[in-house]
Amino acid sequence: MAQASLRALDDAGLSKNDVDGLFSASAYYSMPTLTLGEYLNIVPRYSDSTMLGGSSFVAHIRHAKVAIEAGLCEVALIAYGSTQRSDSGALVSMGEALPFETPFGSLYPLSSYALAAQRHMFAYGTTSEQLASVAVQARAWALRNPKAFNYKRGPLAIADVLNSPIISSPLHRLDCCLVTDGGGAVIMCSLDRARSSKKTPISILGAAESHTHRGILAMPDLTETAARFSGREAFAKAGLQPKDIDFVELYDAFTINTILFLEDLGFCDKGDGGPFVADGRIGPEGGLPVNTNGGGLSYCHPGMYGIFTIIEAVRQLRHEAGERQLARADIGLVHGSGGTLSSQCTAILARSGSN
Amino acid sequence: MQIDGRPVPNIKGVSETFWREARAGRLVFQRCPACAAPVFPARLMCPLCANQALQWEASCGKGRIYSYTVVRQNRQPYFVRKTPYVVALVDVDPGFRMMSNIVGLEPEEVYVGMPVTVGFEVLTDDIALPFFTPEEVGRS
Repeated sequence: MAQASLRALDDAGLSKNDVDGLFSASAYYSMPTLTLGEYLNIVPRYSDSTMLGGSSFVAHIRHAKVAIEAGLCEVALIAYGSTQRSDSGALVSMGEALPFETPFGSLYPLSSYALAAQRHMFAYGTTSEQLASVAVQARAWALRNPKAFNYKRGPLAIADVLNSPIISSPLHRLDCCLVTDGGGAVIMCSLDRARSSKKTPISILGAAESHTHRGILAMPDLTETAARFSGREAFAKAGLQPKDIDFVELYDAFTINTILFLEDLGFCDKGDGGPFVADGRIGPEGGLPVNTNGGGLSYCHPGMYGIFTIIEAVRQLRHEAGERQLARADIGLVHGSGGTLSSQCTAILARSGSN
Repeated sequence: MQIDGRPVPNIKGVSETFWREARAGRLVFQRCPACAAPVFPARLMCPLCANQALQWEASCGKGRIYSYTVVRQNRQPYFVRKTPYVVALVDVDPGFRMMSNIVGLEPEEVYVGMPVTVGFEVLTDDIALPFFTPEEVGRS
């Protein structure tokens, strides 16, 4: 967290002494902004450890926007870090045992997503090949990102995914995100203040958050997430529609996520996500670039991925994305998911002046 | 808490009746006296209308599989011996959803919509966990 925080501050042309608002969530620290503040020796005026799972950071930028607009803080630092790969090689989670799920050997969180994928297949005829194509296209993006964990692993074929071991059917190992170390940080301030920084300011045009359940047992319909609500509100706030979005950065913990969120955010009809993503539509040669950094499937996934959706969107909007830079990147949508498809947070970002 | 490496629930608290009845071989749920909604797992209030006088009721124990997953890898000591095993969400009559295991058949035979019947595996003097079998097997 500290490393990412200092790099983000340097990128913004600010120092830690400018920060008076702290935002974080963590699978390691029960009071993460307290830990962050102590480590960086920052005594904030505003502190927000909102914990919605991996989507938290997309909620944090919305909360920070409101706090800055209300004068509760001027410079917000949103930070995340984890060394889960070095520590254990497996997902580190503070999730409590769920008494009506844990005794039955449901892998947390993997089996919950597997149940959603199976239901989506039943309801809409989605196939394992379509799920696999999400991972294949994420890998294609990662091959253009030197910082991606899978940068040098070469392209992935549908057959590679289908031939990888099934962990919790219908999800194979390569339908699942990476387990990596990693950290990220975002600095936010008013547009007036950002104009004097050394980088192009990026604006939040609209943002929203919602959730429908904690455990998968209580999810009303496993094929419909609260992204319907967060997406609708974020688009309404921004005065935009899905066709106005140049690219999407979403939380692809598992391949089914990408299909569900593209449907729920309105990029295709409910149930059409499988055919929509097939044939390369979301890859480097496709019409809707999704997860241009390689995503949680092929870039990095240090436990909670949400902050990386924001960082990649900012890099694309600033035209700093190197080999994977999109020709058209004026307006991007970022979307975080937390828990087991539980919390959904959406934000629409733009180069300032582009809307 | 664990028994033979299997995580078991805390049977005290608002769900105490559920676990006591389960140990006696009965599947129970709560129903709201005001709006008639079935409620599961147990709560102090109806999540639909906030009525606080929920009443326990017995289910016939039959239902259909809403979705399922065959778990083929699990590092936990108890479950590593069980793989592959089936975890399912079952829509139980008269209209509440449970997570459980589907047993008594090959994992490849399970399908969404399959009719199933509840059974109970006794773990201790106090704890029995529900499982489901295909309805045909449950009758035999």
